[in-house]
Amino acid sequence: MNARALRQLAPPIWAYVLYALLLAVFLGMTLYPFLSGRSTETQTPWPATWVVIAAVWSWLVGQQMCLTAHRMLPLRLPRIASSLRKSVGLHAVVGVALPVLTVQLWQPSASMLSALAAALWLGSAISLLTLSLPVPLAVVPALVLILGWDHFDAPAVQFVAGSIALLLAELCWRWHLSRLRPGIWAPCGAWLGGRSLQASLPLQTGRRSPPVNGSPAGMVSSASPVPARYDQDLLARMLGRRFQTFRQAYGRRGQWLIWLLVAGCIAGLLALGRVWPEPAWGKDKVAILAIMLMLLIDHSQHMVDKLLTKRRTQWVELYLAPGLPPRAHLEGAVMRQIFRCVGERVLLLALFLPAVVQLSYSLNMWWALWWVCFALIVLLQGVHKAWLSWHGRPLSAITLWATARIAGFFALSLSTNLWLLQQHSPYGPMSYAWTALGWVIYLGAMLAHFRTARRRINTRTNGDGWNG
Amino acid sequence: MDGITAQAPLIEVRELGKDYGKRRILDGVSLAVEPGCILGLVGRNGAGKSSLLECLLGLRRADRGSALVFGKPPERMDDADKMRLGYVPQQPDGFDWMTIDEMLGMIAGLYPGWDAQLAARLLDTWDLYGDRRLSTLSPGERQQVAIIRALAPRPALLVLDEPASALDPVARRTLLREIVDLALEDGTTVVFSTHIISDLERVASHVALLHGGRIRLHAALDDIKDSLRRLWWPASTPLPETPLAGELSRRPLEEGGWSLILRDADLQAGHWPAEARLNPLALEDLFVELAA
Repeated sequence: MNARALRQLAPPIWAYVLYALLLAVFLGMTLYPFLSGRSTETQTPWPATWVVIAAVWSWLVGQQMCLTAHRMLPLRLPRIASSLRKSVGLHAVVGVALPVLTVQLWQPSASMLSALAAALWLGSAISLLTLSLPVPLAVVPALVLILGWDHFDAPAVQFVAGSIALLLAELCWRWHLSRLRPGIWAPCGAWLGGRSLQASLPLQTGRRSPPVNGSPAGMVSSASPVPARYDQDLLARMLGRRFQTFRQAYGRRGQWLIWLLVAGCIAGLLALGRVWPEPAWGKDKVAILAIMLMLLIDHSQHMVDKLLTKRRTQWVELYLAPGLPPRAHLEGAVMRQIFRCVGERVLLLALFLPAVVQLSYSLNMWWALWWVCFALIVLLQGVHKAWLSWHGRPLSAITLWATARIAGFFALSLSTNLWLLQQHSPYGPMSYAWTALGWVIYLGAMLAHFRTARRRINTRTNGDGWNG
Repeated sequence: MDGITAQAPLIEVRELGKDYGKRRILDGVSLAVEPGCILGLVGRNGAGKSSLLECLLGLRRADRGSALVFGKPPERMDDADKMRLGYVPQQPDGFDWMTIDEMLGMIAGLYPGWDAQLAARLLDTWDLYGDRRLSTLSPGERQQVAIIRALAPRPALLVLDEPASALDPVARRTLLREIVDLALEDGTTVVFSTHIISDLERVASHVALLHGGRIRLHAALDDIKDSLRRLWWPASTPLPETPLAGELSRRPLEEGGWSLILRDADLQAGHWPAEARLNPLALEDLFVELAA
C-alpha cells in the first residue's frame, strides 16, 4: 500500500491534537509522583485510565479506517485486509508504543512498564474490536470489560485479553470482507464514521422573508384555503419511525404494551432487589452504566444527520409537500417532535435504570433528585444537538464547545452519581456545597452556550443575502 | 407561444449566486420560465444544475440573488402552491421502511387532485408492485416511484432533477411521453435537468445551458435550430480579436483554425474569408462548443 492510500486511512489532525493533549496530561499525572520523589511506588497508577486512553485513540482513528475499508468493499478493491492491518499497526505504534517509549525515558521499573503496555494494549484492542463488530453487537466488549474489570486487573490477563480481542477483530473483518451484507451488519466503526460526515446545509427556516408585492394573474393567493393547523402525526410519518413516539409508531395498543413491558421489568427488578443478596459484581460499574442514558444525546443528533444525508426525499417532502408546517415553523415542529420522541425514551430509561441501580445501592432522596435533573439535562442536550445538526455544518467553535459541554456533563454526572450512591467520592473530598456550585457553573455555561450557538447560527443565516 | 409569453413567469431567478467554500458554482444566474414551456436545463457535471434547481425551490440557501416560484419566494409557498408543484430529486432515497403503496397512499392523501389512475397506470407500465418495500428497489425503480409521486398530483409546475439518469431506455421514453402529455393536457410547465441531449430534442420547447456558473444560452429550441450555425474559420486568416456579429463562442481547433458559433449567421455572409465554411449545428454539437 503506498503512502497516498495510507493517508486516506489517517485520522484528521484534530484527533492527533486531542490525543497528544490526553497523553500529556496523563503522562504528567503518572510520572509526577515518580519524578518528584514523593513515591517510590513502582506500579503504574490507574491502569483503567490507561486502558481508556488507548481506547480513545483507537476510537478516534478507527472510525475513519473502518469507514474507508467498508466503502472499499463494494468497489471490489484489492488488498483491503492488508491495508487494514498496516493501518492498525500504524495506529498501534502511536497508541501503544509511543506512550511506552515516552515513559521508558524516565527508566521506570520493568513491572511498571509492562503494566502500562498491557493496559494500553488492552484498551487499543478492545476499542478496535468494538469498531469491528456489527452494530448490534458493538456494546458487548465494553460491557464485558466494565462488568468484569476485576478479572482484567493483572497485566498478563490484559495482554492475553487484548490479543484475543485483536484476533476477534481480525475474524470480524474476515467476515465483513467475505461478502456484501445489509447495513445493519456493517462494522460499528463504519457506521460511526459515516455519522460524522456532514450533511449538506439545509435551509434556515426561521428567517423572515420580504413581503411579496402581489401575485401574478392566475396564481393561488395565500388567502386560498390552507389548513391553519398541521398534523403532527403526519410530520412524524414523514420523518420516519426513529422520530416517532411509540403511539405514532405502533399505535395505542403497541404503546400500552411497551409501557406494560417496561413496568413489568421494573417490578421484576424491584422484587429481585428484595430477595436477591447484593450482587458481587461491580457496584461502580452499575453506577457508570446508569449514566449511559447520555447515549440518547447522540441518538437525537444521529436521527437528524441521517435525515439530511441519507433520506433526501423525506427531507424534500418536509419542505414541499402540502399539509406540513410552513417553512417558518418547520424547524420548531421538527424539534418538538424530537423532544417528544427522545423525551419518551428518556422517561422510560429514567424509570428503568434506577430499578437496576437499586440492586446494588440503597437509593436516597438526594440521588433521586439528582437523577431527575440529570434526565432533564440529557433531554435538553439531545434536542440541542439535534438542532445543531439541523443547521448543517455547525461552526467549528460551536462544535468544539458542544463536545466540551458533553465531556463536562459526563465528568460531573459520573462523579456526582458515584458520590451520592456511595456517600463518598473516589475522586477526592466532595461536599454538597461544592457539588452544587459545580452544577450551577455547568448549567450556566450550558445555557450560555445554547444562547451563543443560537445567536451565531442566526447571524450566519441572516446575513447570506437570500432573497434579499 | 405568443399567448403564453404574455403571462407572468412561473419561475423567475435573478442574479442567483451560490458558493461551496471558495468555489463559485452559480454566479449571477438569471432565468425566467414562462407558463406552459418545457425547459431543458443542460450543463456539464458539476455545472450547478442541481444547485440551481434546489435554490429556486428553496431547498438550498442561495448566497446571493433571489428566486420566485409562483411569484413569491420559495420559502413563502403555502399549501396551495405546494399542491401545484411536483419535484423529483436527483437521489430519490428515503421512506425505506414503507412499501410503494404505503408511500404513495400517504402522499396521495395530501393532494386533492391526486390522479390515482395515472399512478396505477405508471406502476403497471413500469412493472412496479405496490407491496414492494422501497428499500428493496433498484435505483432506477426508486426513480420511477419518485416520478410517479411527482406526476400523479398533476402539478402546474414540474421540476425534475436528472429524472432519466437511472432509467432504462424504455422507461425513459415513457417518462418523456408522460411529460409531453401533461404539458399538452394540463398546460404543465416543466423544468428538467439532463445530460441526455436526445431527450431534450424530443420534448423540450426551450433550452438553457448552464456553464461557468452562468446561463450561457436560453432560447426556444426551434430558434436555436433555425438561427445558430457553426462557422469554421481557416488558420490562414487571422481571426479578429473582437467578437463577430452574433458570435456566441469561439474555440481553437487542434488541426488549426477556429470553430465559432454564430447567431443569424446567414445575414452576415460575406464578412468572412472565402475558405470559411458555415455548417448547421446539432444540439449536441452546440453543447460541446459552448461547454467545452
